[in-house]
Amino acid sequence: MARRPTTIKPGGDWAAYRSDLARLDAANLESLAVARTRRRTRLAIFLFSLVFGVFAARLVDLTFSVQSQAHAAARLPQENYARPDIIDRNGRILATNIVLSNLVALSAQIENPDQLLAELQRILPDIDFARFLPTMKRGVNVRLATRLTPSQKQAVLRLGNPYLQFNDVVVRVYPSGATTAHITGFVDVDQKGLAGLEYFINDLQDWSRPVRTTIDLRVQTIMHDVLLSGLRMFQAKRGAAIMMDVASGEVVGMVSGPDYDPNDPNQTGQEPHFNNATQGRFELGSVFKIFTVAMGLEFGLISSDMTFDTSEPLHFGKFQTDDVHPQRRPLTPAEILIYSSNIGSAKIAKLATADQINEFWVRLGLYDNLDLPLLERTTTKFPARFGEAEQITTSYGHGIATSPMHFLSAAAAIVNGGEYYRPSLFPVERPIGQRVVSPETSSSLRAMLRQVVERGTGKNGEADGYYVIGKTGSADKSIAGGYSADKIIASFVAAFPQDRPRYAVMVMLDEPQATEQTHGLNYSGWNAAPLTAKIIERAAPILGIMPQSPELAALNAQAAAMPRLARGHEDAPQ
Amino acid sequence: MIRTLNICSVLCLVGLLAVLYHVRYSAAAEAKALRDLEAQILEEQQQAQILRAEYSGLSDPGRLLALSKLHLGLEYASGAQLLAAVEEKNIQTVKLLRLGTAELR
Repeated sequence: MARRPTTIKPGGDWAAYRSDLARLDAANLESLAVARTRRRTRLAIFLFSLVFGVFAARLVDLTFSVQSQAHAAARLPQENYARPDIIDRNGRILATNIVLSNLVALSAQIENPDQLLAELQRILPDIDFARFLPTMKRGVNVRLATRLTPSQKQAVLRLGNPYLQFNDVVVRVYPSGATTAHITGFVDVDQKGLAGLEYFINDLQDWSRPVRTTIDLRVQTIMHDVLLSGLRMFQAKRGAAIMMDVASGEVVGMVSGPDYDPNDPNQTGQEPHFNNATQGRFELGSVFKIFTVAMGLEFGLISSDMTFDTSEPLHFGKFQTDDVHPQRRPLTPAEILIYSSNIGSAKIAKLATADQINEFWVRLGLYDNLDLPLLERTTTKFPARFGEAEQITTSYGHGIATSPMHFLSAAAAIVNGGEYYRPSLFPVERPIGQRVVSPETSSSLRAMLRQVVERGTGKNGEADGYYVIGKTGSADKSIAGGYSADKIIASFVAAFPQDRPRYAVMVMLDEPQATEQTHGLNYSGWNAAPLTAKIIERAAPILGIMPQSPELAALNAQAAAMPRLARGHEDAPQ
Repeated sequence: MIRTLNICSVLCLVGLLAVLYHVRYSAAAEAKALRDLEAQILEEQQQAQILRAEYSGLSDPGRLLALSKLHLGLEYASGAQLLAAVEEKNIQTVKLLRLGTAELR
C-alpha cells in the first residue's frame, strides 16, 4: 500500500496525491481545496500586477516621450543651419548663420493688390513694390521681397493677409566681408563650403562649437587696409601679407589681394578667390639670403668676420650673376645681407654641399605641406636637378618657388631663437618647435637683419620705436624662357622687436610699378618694406607692444632706481 | 471583510484613474507650453543671431576705420607720437617719484 501523504504542500508532488485521491479523508480534501484556491488567487494577483505594471510603464513612457517629442520639434529647424560660426582669437564673429524670409504673394487670391502693395511699401520703403503690380493683376504668384529679417517679417504678418507667404532661408553672413575673405572662404546656396575654412568645416566632426581661429580681426583689418591700398598705390597685379606669432606659428593676420566679398563671391569672378599667401608659389629672391647666411653659420662654413670678394660678377657655366647694389669689395656676411649681394650669397652657398643645403631646407619646413585648414594650399617647387647653377641661384632665391606662408614660417624660425613652428590658423596650446639653428646663429642673424633696416636695402621698413629687423627681396619674375627684366616679385620679411621678436611679418607684391614717390624704382625697399613698416606701426600697439627708445629706457632705469612709493609706479612701462 | 477590501480597492482604482487622467493631460499641457516656449526661444535666438551679425558688421574695424577717416579726419597714431606719449607719462612718473622721495627726506 502506497504511503498516504499526511500534509499537502503547494508545489508538492501532485501526481502522488492524485493516484490516492479516492482514499483521502475529508480533512485532507478540504486542505487540498484551500491550497488550490490560494494558488489561483496568487495567479490572479500576478496577472493583475502584470497588467498594472504595463499600464504604469506606458504612463511613464507617455509622460517622457511627450517631452522628448517637444524637444525634437523645437530642435529640428535649428539643425538645418547649424554650420558653426567662425570667430577670431578674441571671439569676434567672422562668419555666422541667420534665418531670413522670402515673401511670396499668391496673386490669384489677393483681391486688392494696389492696396496691399501700398501697405507693404510703408513697411519696406527700400523696395519698389509698384513694379509687381502688373504681374499680380495677371494672377501670377510673385516673390515680392527676399531676405527679410524677423522683425520685417513680423511687420508684414501684422497686415493679416493670409495670401502672403514666407519661405525661410538660412543665410551665411561674413560681417567683415572682404577683410577676412581668404580665411573664411565662402559657401554655396546649399550652405556647402567651397573655399577657405568653410571648405574645411564641411568635414569637421564637431559642429556644436564655434570654430576659433588665431586671426586678430583688428590686425587683419590693418593688414587688409595697408595691402589693398599698397596694391593700388604701386599698381601691383596681386599681393599677400601675413603676420605670425614667432613663438607658436599662430597666424594673426593673413591677407591676399585682389580680394572679394564672401557674402557675394561670384560678383568679382574667380581670380580674386586665389589665396596668394598660401596658394601662390613665387620665386621670392633675395629674402632667401637669410637662409643662406644662417646655413653657413649653423654648419660652421662661415664666420661673422669672414669676407667674400664681390668685385667681379660671378660666372658659372654660360651664366653670370651680379649685384644690384654693387660694392665691388670684400663683404662680410652681414654686409652681404645689408647690400643684398648675390655674388656674396652665391659664394657662401658654394661652400656647402648639396646635401647640406637640402638638409637645411628640410629643417626650414620647405618640404612640408602647409598644415592649414584651407583648401587653397601649395607646396614648394624645387629645382628639377641640383647642379652648380642651382646651388648658386637658390642661394638668392631663384629657381626655387614657395608660398609666402612657407617662407615666413621658415624665416620666423631663423629669428625666434632657432625653432621652427608649423604655421597654424587654430590656437596652439602647447607649441612644439623643432630646432633649425642654434640660439647663437639666430642672435647673429637678428643683429645682421637689424643692420639691413638701419643702413641697408630695408631702410624704409623701419617703424619708429620698434627696432624692426628685416630683409628685402626683389626677384626678377620668371617668364617663359628666362627671367623678365622689369617685372619683379617684391617682398619684405620682417620681425619685431629686434632683441626678442614676437611677430614676423611678410608683405609680397607681384609686379609693383615704379611711382613718383619711389623715385622711379620698383625694388621691394620702396614698396613692400614701407608697407610692412606701416603694418607694424599700426598693429604693434594693438598687440600690446609699445614703442621703445633710448630716452625711454633711461627714464625707466631712473624710475627703477628710486624707492618704490606710489602704486602708480606699477604702471610704468617696462 | 473581503467585500470592504474590494470596494476600497475599486474606489482606489477609480481615484487613481482620475489622478492619472489629470496627470496625463496636465503633462500634455505642460509639454505644449514647453514646445511653445522652445519655439519662442528659437525665434528669439534667431533674432539675437541676426542682431549679433548686425553688431559685428556695424562694429567691424574696417567700417569704423573708414567712418573715422571720413567724418573725424582721424589717422593712425605714429610710433613717434606713441613714443612721445609714453615718454611724457614716464617723465611725470619720475617727477612724482622724485617728489615722493624728497618728502620722505
